[in-house]
Amino acid sequence: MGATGFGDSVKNRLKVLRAERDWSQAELGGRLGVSRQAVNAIETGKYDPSLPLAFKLARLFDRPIEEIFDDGAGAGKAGDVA
Amino acid sequence: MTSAADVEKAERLGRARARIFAVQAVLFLGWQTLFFSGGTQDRVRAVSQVKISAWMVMAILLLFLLASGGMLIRGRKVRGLLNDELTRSHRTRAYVWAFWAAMISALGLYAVDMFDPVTAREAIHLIVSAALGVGLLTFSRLERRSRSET
Repeated sequence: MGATGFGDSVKNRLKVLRAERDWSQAELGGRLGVSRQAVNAIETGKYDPSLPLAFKLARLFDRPIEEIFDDGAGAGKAGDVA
Repeated sequence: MTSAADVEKAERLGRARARIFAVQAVLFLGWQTLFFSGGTQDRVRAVSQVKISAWMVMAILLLFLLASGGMLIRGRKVRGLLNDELTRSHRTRAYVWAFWAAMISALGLYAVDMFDPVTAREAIHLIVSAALGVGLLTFSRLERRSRSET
């Protein structure tokens, strides 16, 4: 996924999933092995995580990646096919 | 899993690092104005070998700090948090800005050389200083911004 900073960031449900487990950003960062700033940057859409980190998140929340991250292209693609 | 204490420690050290890098960059760039303030005549003679060597040592040290992120005496987990993928992306962006600073200063020197010849040492000095200063300032700015947004 990589860093952005140039717009077109991927939306995610990280904040909701974290709140469901009552974890702080620091706690989630500790579980992922990244800083609290990294968690905050991902939640606010300022940074798109790498693929390994996205998989880590998916495993941690026990959800498929596409349930956590949404690049907004799914609907468009379906329309293109139809 | 990394402990909450490690995460907090990394956060505290990260803030300090961003401030230190900014101060180092300003001091380093400020030092360069003193370096060349002697005018255009006999610049190499005016600058002692000690001064030139000191600049080289300082530049290598700062380059190493920018590349490694510093904090090498800290534990592996804290060091990992201080160099997580967000920080690495900041460093990559700092390298991009440093590259452009080097290109612009090199092209500028190429043009200046037509009117006022510049020695190889002066040219290298200016290009390295510009790239390193811009790289450190960019890294520091991105790190401070990510920390102020939380």
